[in-house]
Amino acid sequence: MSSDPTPEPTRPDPRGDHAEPARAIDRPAAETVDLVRTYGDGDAVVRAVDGISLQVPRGSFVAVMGPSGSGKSTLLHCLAGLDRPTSGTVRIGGTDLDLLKDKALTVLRRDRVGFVFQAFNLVPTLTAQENILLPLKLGRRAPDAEWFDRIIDQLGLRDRLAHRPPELSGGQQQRVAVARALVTRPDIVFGDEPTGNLDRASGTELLALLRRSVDEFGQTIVMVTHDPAAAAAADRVWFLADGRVVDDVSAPTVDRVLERIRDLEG
Amino acid sequence: MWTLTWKGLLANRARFLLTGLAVVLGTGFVAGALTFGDTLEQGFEDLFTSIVGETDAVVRPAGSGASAEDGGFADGGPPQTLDPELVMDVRALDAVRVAEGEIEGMAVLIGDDGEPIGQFGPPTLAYNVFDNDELDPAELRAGRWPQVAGEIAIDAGTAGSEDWSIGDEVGVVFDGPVERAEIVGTFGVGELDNLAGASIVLLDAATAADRLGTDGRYTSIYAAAATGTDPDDLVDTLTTALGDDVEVLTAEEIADEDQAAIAPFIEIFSTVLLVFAVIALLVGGFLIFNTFTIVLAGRLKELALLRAVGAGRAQLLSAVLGEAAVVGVVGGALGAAFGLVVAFALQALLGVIGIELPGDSLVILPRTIIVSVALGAVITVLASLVPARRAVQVPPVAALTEVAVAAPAGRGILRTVAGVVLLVAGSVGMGATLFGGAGAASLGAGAVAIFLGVAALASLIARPVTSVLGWPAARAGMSGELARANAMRNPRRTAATASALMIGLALVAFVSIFSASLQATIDGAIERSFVVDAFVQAGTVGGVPQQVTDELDALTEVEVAAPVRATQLPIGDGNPTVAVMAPEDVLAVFDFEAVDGEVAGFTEGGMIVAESTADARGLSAGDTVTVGLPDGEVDVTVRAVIDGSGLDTSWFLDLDTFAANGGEATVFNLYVQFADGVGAEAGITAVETALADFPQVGVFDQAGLAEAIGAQLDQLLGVVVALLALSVLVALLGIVNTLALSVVERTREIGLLRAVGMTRSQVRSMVRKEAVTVALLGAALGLALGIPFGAAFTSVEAFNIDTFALPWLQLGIGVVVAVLAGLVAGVIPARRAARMDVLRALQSD
Ligand SMILES: Nc1ncnc2c1ncn2[C@@H]1O[C@H](COP(=O)(O)OP(=O)(O)OP(=O)(O)O)[C@@H](O)[C@H]1O
Ligand SMILES: [Mg+2]
Repeated sequence: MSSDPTPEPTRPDPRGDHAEPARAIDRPAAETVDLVRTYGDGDAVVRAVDGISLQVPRGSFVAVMGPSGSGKSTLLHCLAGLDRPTSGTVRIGGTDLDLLKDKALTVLRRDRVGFVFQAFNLVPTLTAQENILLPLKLGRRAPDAEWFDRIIDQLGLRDRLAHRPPELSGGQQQRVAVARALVTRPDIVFGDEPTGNLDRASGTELLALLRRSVDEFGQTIVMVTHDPAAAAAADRVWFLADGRVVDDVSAPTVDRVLERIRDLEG
Repeated sequence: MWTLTWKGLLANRARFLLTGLAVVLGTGFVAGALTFGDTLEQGFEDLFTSIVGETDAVVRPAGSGASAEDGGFADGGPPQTLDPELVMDVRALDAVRVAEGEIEGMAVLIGDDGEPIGQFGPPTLAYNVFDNDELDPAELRAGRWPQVAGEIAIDAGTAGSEDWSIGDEVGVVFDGPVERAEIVGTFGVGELDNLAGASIVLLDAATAADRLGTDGRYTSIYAAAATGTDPDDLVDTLTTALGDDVEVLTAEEIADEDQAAIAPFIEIFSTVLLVFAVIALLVGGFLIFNTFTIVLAGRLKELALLRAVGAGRAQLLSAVLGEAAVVGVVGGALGAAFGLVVAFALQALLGVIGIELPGDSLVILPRTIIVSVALGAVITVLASLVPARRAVQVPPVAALTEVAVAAPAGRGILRTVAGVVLLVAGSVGMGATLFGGAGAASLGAGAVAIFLGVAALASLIARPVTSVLGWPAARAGMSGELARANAMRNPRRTAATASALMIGLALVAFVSIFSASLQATIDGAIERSFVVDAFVQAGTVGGVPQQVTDELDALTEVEVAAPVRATQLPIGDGNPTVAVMAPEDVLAVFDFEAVDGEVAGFTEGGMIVAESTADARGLSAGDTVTVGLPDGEVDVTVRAVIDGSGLDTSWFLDLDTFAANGGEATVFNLYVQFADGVGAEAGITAVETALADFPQVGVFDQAGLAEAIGAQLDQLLGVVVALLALSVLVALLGIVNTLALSVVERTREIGLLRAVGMTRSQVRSMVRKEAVTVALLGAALGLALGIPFGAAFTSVEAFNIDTFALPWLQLGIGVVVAVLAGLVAGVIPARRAARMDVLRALQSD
């Protein structure tokens, strides 16, 4: 196991005065304790996540890798409050998700979590801008114009704001999804193979954007990927197998990631 | 391909269930209307046969049968009658075993609330009790037959609905003031306690002879043949014996005549029910159309795959239409069964409001089942034709691509053309009936074509209109914004769903506009022509008794009480309603300005004609017109032409000319003018007090009359709207269905919305607001169509409507009801959407 790459305390906090105790700087953005998620019962029980305890430090960019069926998506869903664990605890910014009823959990997803899926990220009836502002509108919150401008400039979406999803390319759609995930300044953004449906150029571009949002906005990101190059853009990589974290690589490079994959398979 | 059909049906069970329900509802009401009519017809046939009973021959005055055809609402001539001695002659014949004379007259029972029972509705009849029970159609149910004046027996049905029992004293009116009589018995006819709502009073023979206005003469004689005599021989014998002044009919002929007399009423009744059933079926067609469209849209990939592996378009088309046919046939068959329930419910409903109709067991003719199944199949296949054709156009390559296949271009033009053609053809069809004298079929077909045309065109305007209608919802928050966007995303679907509701609303708007315009016209006419201080109107077909006129003439407060006899007379090639009045009354009551001639000339007899009629017939003062009166044609001089606008008649004929030529007509109205110096209130009070014993007439001032007419119109409007509610119900099902299917279609999107933070209640509200938006579109289309319909109908000359009124309140209520319907329709799909599991929804495909 590599050492914990805690973010340098010297980095300016772009969140400004968001200084509630629950979001204290030393608290992890998300953490799990003995997280278990099983499917089915009796002999047919599948332990998709089998006792994972981990912490996602604030401002870090974590990639999750592992063979198909190793539990990556399940872990992400539990972390994001989309799925309820069978046992164990999930905390987002210090809030124990298990204690939240459906409504509160939904509000937490809306205000404190961002999500970028592999595909079908956008509501087809809404324009790019409306899609980006969707979580704010749902919470009847006024968008912070300056922050919004910064995001869309950063993501190069300014001239696409009035378009509807069918009029956008796959890469543009994913960028809109990233903008939507960032617009609420969430505690953490999750991505489940966000580059999975993109060609290499668009994928690389999107990764660069994610990287920049970590570096410039101090965003925390957890991203599932099968692509070693994508994983290399992260601060660290967790390797999953059979529902457990089997390895943890800091400051990954493509070669190191490939090497680990070969080790794990071998 | 049948395998494919079955698979398709099974895979979409729930969806087709709702389609099937629409078919069942639509065809069910058709089958119900048919069954109800058949049952009624059979019931009356049985009834008339049982009324005739032991009677073999009926003797009545020659020619009196014809007047029976207008249901006893004869124009008031004295009943043709038979000499009482004739019964003796009949009895004296060897061929006759027993004979009885019948006196038919009128008696109005007064309810405990002081209001006459029956009024202008069902007949209020009175008869004598026969000495010989055998021939009497009435069968005693309780008590005994009346024996002296002051005793009556009444039909058990009326006794039941009025909650009267033997020994009660009730009010009854023959031809004068109300009298008290004791109920000594109740009776029924055959198995029925009551004949289609008619109230029947039986009197002892002497009282009947005295009080029923026949001077002791009979209206008919019933005879039974002696043992061994053939009934036909009896008829021959009687015909020979009694001469030309009478006609003799067999019992069968009498029953047939009665049946023939009632047939038009049954037919009108069943036709009205059928019309509403067909409207519901038409609305159901939209629902079917929508379901097939959505289900097939969801199966495009599957169809494309089948095409890719070699299925031909025709094969797919027949598979898809096969599904429709199966749904239609099964729905139609269930509809026939449901029709029984409907017919039964209709009977029960009429029973509740006191109309007991004959026919206990429902009559189910094979025709009913065939019609129901055929209608179900035809309407379903027709409704699925367009979506099926569209679906099989899917290119095989669509199976391999990710994106949904857009509808082929160019269809918009086809649709627009079809819509415009339907709209124009429909307008021409309706116009042909309204303004050109074509039959009702052209009107109905025209209306259907217009509905279809508007539905086709509606998809073109659905997007902008929905955008406007959804604006308030969108202002209210994100769920409303999404609701509006959802309603706009598939304009065809939204338009078709809304169109179903449009039909009901258009018809409701139309009838309320029509009735409001009629009311406004009548109000205006009353206002203009109400030159009198008060108005006495008969509340029953008995008219205004002479005593009422006498009572009023005797009042010092009353200057004139002018009787008006309204009757239809043949003039030229028409048969217009003519007001027969004494000339001095006309001059005293009306303030006519002559356009031509002198109104005062009327005192010498003759006619006064309204200008519009005079123009149409090329008449001017001094001309003569030939009027058909009972004693023959008479040439009558036109004394004056007046501006008759606002009058409900175009002809005034002087009473002397009328009476001198054998004319007799019931007085239904009195115009009352108060004496100088008598205030309106004092005058009305005096009249009302004087007429307290005459509950069969009503006293109105101007406002009261307008109100009374309004109440009648409102009642009619209520019935029509209640029947139209049926189509709104089916339309509501359509919204439920479309929305439920849309929600399923959008599962993934709803999952996404939930994932990014939409709460369950926001999801619910989103779906409900979409439902309301669709309902609003339906309401808007309905009003956009109903108002011109109303305008077209009110401008038809035959209706004599001169004012076009928009009843804002009623139209507003219609819109509110539509919105509520939308809310209700949204409940189930909304709950379904809100209950979705986020993760499962996200991962669905
Ligand atoms: N809804 C479910 N019901 C039953 N089993 C499930 C369900 N979802 C996931 N599983 C099982 O849990 C295990 C982990 O699945 P998960 O989707 O988390 O894998 P993954 O690592 O994301 O795989 P991939 O790389 O293919 O996306 C698998 O064995 C899968 O079959
Ligand atoms: Mg996965």
